[in-house]
Amino acid sequence: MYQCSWKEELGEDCPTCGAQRSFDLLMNGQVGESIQMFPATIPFLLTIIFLLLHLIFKFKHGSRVIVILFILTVSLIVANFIVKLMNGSAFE
Amino acid sequence: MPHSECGIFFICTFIKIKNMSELDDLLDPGVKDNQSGYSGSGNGKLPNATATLVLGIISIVGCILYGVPGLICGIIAIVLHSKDKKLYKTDTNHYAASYKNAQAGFICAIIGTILSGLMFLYFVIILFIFSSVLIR
Repeated sequence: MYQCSWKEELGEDCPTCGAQRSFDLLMNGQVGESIQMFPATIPFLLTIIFLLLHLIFKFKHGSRVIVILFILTVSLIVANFIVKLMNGSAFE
Repeated sequence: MPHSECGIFFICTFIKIKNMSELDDLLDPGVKDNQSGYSGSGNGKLPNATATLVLGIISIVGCILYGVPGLICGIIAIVLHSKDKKLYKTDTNHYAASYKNAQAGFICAIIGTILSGLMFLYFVIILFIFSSVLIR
């Protein structure tokens, strides 16, 4: 597993902390735990898969769907980080 | 000025305005070379539309290494988009479909760049706090 330099040096979580562990859990089939660990993994994977499909098949409103998925991902990342900061788990 | 001459002058001006798009091509022949078909087909490809879209989406994974890769990707995407926008304005109908992709990439790039920039700022601020604590 790639060691996050942020966590190594500052000793705290960054906004996308947990993405790797969440992806690992998803690959093991533990969807619920994966969402709990980092909720933006599934929308992000969906965005990338849809991007590849859009580049191959050129959907009519594909670019709009990509933007919506992207905004969903970003808002989940930001919301997750704000919740972490409020709970104080970022500074453990 | 005799009436007949005056009339010819006006007709010429009128024709000139009507054929303005052709005139533009005469003035700027480089534009026409970029177009495979002519006006209105909507299938023209902007050269950087796909790159903008991909880089724009990649710019969100920038938290790795303090947000620097995300910033770089985002800024590259924005620069590529500005180039594409110039080309798009030469023939709006021709590049309509491709420009949607470029626009989506641009929106993603702006969001990704802002977020990466904030991450980087957050990192710098934390570094300052830590260093000031260490100095004292």
